[in-house]
Amino acid sequence: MYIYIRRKLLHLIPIAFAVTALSFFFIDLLPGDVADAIAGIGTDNAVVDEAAVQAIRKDLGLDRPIVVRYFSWLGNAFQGELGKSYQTGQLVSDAIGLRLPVTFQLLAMAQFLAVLFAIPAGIIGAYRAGKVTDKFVTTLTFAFLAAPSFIIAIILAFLFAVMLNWFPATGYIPFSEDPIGNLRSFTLPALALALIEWPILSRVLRNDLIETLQEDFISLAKAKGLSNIYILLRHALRPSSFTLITIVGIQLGNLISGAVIVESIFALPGIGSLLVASIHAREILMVQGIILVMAVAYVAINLAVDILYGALDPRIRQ
Amino acid sequence: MKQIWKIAILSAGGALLAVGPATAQSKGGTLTVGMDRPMTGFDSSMNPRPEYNRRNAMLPIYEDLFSTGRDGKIVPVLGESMKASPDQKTWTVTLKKGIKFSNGEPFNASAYVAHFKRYQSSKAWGFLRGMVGPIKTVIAKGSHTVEFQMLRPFPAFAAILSNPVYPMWANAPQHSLNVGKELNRQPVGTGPYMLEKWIPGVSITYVKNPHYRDPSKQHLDKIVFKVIKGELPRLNSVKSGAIDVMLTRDGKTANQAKQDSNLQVLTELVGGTTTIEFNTSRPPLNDVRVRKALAHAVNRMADLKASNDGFGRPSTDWFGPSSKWHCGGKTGYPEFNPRKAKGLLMAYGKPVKFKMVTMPIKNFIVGAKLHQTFWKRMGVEVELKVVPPGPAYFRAVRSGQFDAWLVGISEAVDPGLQAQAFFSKNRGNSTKSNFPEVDAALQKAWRSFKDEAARKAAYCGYVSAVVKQQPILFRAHNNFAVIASKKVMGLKKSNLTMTRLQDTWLAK
Repeated sequence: MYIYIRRKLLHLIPIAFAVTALSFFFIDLLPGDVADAIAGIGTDNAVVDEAAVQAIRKDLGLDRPIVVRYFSWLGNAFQGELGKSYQTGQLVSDAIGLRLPVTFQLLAMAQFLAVLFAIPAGIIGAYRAGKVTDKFVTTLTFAFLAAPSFIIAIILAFLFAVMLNWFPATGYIPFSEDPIGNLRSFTLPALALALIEWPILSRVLRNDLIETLQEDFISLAKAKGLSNIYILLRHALRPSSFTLITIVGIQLGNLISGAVIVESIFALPGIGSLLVASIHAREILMVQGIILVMAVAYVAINLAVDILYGALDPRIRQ
Repeated sequence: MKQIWKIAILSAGGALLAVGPATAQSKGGTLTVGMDRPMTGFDSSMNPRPEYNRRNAMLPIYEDLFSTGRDGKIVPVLGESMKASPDQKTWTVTLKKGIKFSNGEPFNASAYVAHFKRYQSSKAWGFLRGMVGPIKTVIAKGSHTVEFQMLRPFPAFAAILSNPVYPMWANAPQHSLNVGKELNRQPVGTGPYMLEKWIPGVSITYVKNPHYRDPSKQHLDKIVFKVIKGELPRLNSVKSGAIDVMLTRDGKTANQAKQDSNLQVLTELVGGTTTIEFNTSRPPLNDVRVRKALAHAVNRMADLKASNDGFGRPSTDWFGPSSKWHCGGKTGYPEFNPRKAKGLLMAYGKPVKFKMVTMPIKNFIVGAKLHQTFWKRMGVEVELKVVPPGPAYFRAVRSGQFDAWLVGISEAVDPGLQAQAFFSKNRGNSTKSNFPEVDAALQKAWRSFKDEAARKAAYCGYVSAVVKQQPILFRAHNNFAVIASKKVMGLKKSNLTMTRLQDTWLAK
């Protein structure tokens, strides 16, 4: 297992290199840069003062060739220095450190709720396969699959924040300040993400469970006179959850893109909204820092999924 | 006798009830404001952008030298008096004594001069100069007298001194020297509030300035600006009580808020206008008949309704009807007349086809598509490209690959600062205007600086000359709205899209 983890961590180096290099070069292709914004370009009827723009570009080191800039950033990143925002002067590491826990909590709560909805729905669908209950669950899952996250988020905000006033419409309260307030501020955003996530998980689990329920060991359990609930939860669920776990890992990437929208709608200061704002502002150092953190997180999550496989199936451990 | 006492007590009670809720300025509480865009920084020499979220978020900590009263008279704020030389090339301002910055530094002539010197030596000065005029130098003439020397006669400076023009907002000089570039994150002004904490992209928190000269006006304990992107999330936040105030240019949001009896909505018909500009240097838009036809072809009321829910008014010049410089609709702007448009295009006699660029923001993209549709009915083919807002958009506009583009002309305090770009020799002449009649009209306006009526007539002459050549289509003066919950008291209409939230208080 140790060798396996080490090999996986070694994979991180080319992955981080590839994604940061690609993002660096792609952002450079976009027209305009942060020097334009600092010189006032991008406002109504702005007169372009090219001399000022060039001077600002030189000050910021943006006049150097892109390859030089990239390797300079990479060298600093290896030493743990991710740079500063050109406009606000905020340290990239500070900005990420501030926002990463927000996105992490959002994703964790969303995944937890999604799995919480998906497992009973999957079990019911598999147990009652082809019956009315299964068809109802299937229709429900397709309805949520078809709904974009921002529509769900807006409906949830309108219903539970504006109409019923149960949860705040926007805002973030740190857990350390007010744990209940924190959970209340995360409930609607996490629910918005979970509602688009659970149908996939539920469908996958249902299909795997149906296959598992055809296995000989299930027939043996039935012959022993064990109850259906016991067979489903104790014997069938564990071998049927491999695909579910894989999808949970893979879907985290998708959830991050969903989180960008949901964070905006509920004004959560997460890493997704920071990434989008930084791309718009051409804050390349901020973008690089976020991409690097995301790449590491993605590899780490997949590593965790692989380790979890081992825990669930002793054959993989061996 | 008893009866008289009864009447007196009842009258006094009635009077108290009538006046009480309106005038009692309760102390304490936190006012929470929703911002649409994150703050980029407080130092305008590093962040010169005039975006309204930024300007409004800076207001609690800075002050103007003067303001303009409802009667149009100049009201002293940090300044005591202003005086112009007969040639209007030198402006002298006497500052009030005893004023301190929030860190305790004295506000005086040398502080103000230091502020300007820092701006003039910055790389953003080229941009900032467009907002404060042709200032050559600023010198201290005594401890509390500042002299602004101009490159040319500049009557507009009175309006700059007496309106919220943010490059005029001074930071504490010694603090500016001490912190250098960090001033962008650590501003120190003379206003009633001072910065406590700024988390970029998240929130800005202000607390009371302990050195403020009039503590009775510091009603709130704190003011918090929170970034909440999107109109609907912000409106939902005001409705649900998550925030107290939001500012918006979006008509649909303002109209929705007006339907809610729990909210108060104050609107300002903003000067400036949304427009479509043409590159007049190459076919087919180098022909005035084509440009006139394009103006006649569009129903601007339909544009306003579609692009901003009818929130505003079609414009006939770049000053709004509430401005003293508004030309009263007498600029000869072409009316909606498809028949006339067809006639002009027939007279041109060649197919009309061009490329237009717009931004993916609702007002612009809907407006662009609507114009495209109206023009298509006239047989005009327009290829539309969408480019993200900000520097990328203005680079695309200046690249020369487009024949038309949507742009806004900002509201300004004086015509001397606005829409000079149709002058053939102006650096910002993006329409490549080269019309002797327009040049002559603007030069006449520059010369007529001594008499306000003559200035107005001359500037309206300039607008009319521009409209005659039509290098630009006017779309609408858009409204600006302040939406607040009813517990926010003392809220006033915005001026130049800036709202003095620091003067409000919260109902108990």
